[in-house]
Amino acid sequence: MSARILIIEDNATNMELMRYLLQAFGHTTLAASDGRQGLVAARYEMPDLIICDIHLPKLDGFGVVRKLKEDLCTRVLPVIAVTAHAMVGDRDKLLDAGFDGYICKPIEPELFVTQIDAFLPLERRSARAAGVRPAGGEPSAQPPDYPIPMR
Amino acid sequence: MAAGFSSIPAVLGSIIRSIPEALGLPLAGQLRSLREVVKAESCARQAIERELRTAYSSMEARIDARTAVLTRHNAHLRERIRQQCAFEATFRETERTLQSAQRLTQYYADFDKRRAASDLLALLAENHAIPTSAIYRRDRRTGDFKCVAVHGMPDGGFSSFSFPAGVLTKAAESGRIIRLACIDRSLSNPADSISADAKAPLVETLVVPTMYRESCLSIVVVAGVRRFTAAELAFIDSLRDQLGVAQHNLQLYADSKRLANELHVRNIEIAEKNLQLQDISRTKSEFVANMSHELRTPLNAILGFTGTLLMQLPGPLNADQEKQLGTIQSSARHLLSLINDLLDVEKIESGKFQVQLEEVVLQSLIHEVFETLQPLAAQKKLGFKLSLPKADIRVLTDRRAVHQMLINLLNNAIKFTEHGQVSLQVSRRRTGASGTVELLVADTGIGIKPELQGQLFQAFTQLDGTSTRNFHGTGLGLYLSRRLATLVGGNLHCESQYGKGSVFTLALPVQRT
Repeated sequence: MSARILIIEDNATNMELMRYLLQAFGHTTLAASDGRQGLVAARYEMPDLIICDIHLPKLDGFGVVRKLKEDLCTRVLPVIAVTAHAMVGDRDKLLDAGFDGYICKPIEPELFVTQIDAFLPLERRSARAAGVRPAGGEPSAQPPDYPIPMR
Repeated sequence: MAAGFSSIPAVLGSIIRSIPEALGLPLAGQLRSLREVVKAESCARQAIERELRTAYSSMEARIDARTAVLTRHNAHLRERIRQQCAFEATFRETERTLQSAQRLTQYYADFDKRRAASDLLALLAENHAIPTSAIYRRDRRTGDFKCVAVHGMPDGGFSSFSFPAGVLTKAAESGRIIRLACIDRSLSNPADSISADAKAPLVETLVVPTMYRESCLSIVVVAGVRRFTAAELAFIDSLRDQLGVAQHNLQLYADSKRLANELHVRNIEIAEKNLQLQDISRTKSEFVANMSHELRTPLNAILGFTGTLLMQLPGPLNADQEKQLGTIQSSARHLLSLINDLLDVEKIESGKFQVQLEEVVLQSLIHEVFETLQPLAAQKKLGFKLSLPKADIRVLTDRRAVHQMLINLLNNAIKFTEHGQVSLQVSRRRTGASGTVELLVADTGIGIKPELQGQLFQAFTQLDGTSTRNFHGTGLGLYLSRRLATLVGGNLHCESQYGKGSVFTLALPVQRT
């Protein structure tokens, strides 16, 4: 089994890195490049986990997590902050704001998926252990990036 | 009655003769007794007269004595009165002097030089019968004199006395009062018509230098219509002493006021500079924070994708590819650590670094550090020895700070050692209430020249140009470590023998006070 993970990140390279790593370990990813898109995607797609940057256009990470935790439907979703803000005291600030976890940039590729897996139920964790070489090639059938078409 | 007119003496004789008969006494006996009576009476009279004379003379003697007493008494009284008068005069004089001194002090307390000078001269005229006077101030640098106040001169057209050449300088140099007689001649033209109030010609002029510690500050010239008395001279002499001190104080006050002004101006300048510096410092802080953020973002991608490649997620690597990617990864990690150091320095210097105290078991922290650095030491084929007490050492400190200090110190030790070993020894020292823990990081490396040991803990310093080529680093490691050591209440120092090795000792308090 694998998980559907929403990544809210405005930096394309970072987005690509995280998508690549998560997909390489068998997860399905959804992408949103600003806070509002991320919120919409979270409500429509109800992913298993949300990875959220702090500095985001339109609505920052704190705003996103507040809205998600206010909503009875989305409050159950684990939200992990991934940020370059490595300041002392930031960790407590993030957890107080409602984030369930916190990963500091730059991410460590060898540990990243394991760190994310820790927030997923056992049956949703990545199928492959870290360091195992994937079959190669891009994983297919990825859902489109947000904004998603409104139904 | 013819018988009755016979003769008067006969009649008288018969009368006299008949008296004793009439008195019933015999006549001869009567006469005799009469004589005796007269004789006795005269004796008595003489005695009385003698007594009277005696009485007179004794009375005179007493009067003389009394007069003498009175005279003495009078003389005594006169003396007392004289003394009283003299005393009163002295008293009045003293009072005047006191008053002068008091007013003088008051003038000088105002610290208005011009006013003080002219008020002083007015006072001399009013209280001390010195109608005409002037004060000359001496320039401290050139020694020239300048008239600052005159009194008792006719209004207008007069600036100062004119003296025989060099009198002022002579007085100034000798420090003595110079008496000039027949002054009205030695005065300038307007001075001849001197003293509007005291029309009399001036008879004597005194040139009085006021001194302080052997140097002449100013000269007071006083002129009188009669010769100065000894008392007046004494007064003037005491006055000039007072004036010397007062002027010196005034000078000191003026100097200190000038200095205070300069200081004030300087303070304003410094405050402005400080503001500018604060501005620059803030700009620098923002710059460093932004820079580090901006630099970390691309590093995230470099390290991330190097990682995925090395994990061989996209596909298998050959040996060369793997080795070169490994080099990229370690260089990128190094770059990241430099950026982190810069960020830490910035945090410490801007006071944003907050110490977070927690109980740390030193052994576990040290093992963690050891695990991290052991590969580096192994790469250089160096021994890496830990010497730890068996019992857990629990220290209340900032875990992150101690971790970083140990990493820095051990990293340096490995970096600057080519042969031999690096060791970390931990021991407790019982000093004060709770004691300290000493962590000794020793190496057998290149050591540090004694003359360079002072620069060791300075920011951005690498000890010599050649080592920059051989050893990577920003030169921030030791600077950061010492700052961190201070922040957690400990200290860091170094002992080194050039060519033999170095020992860095990090002392940490067990309990933070």
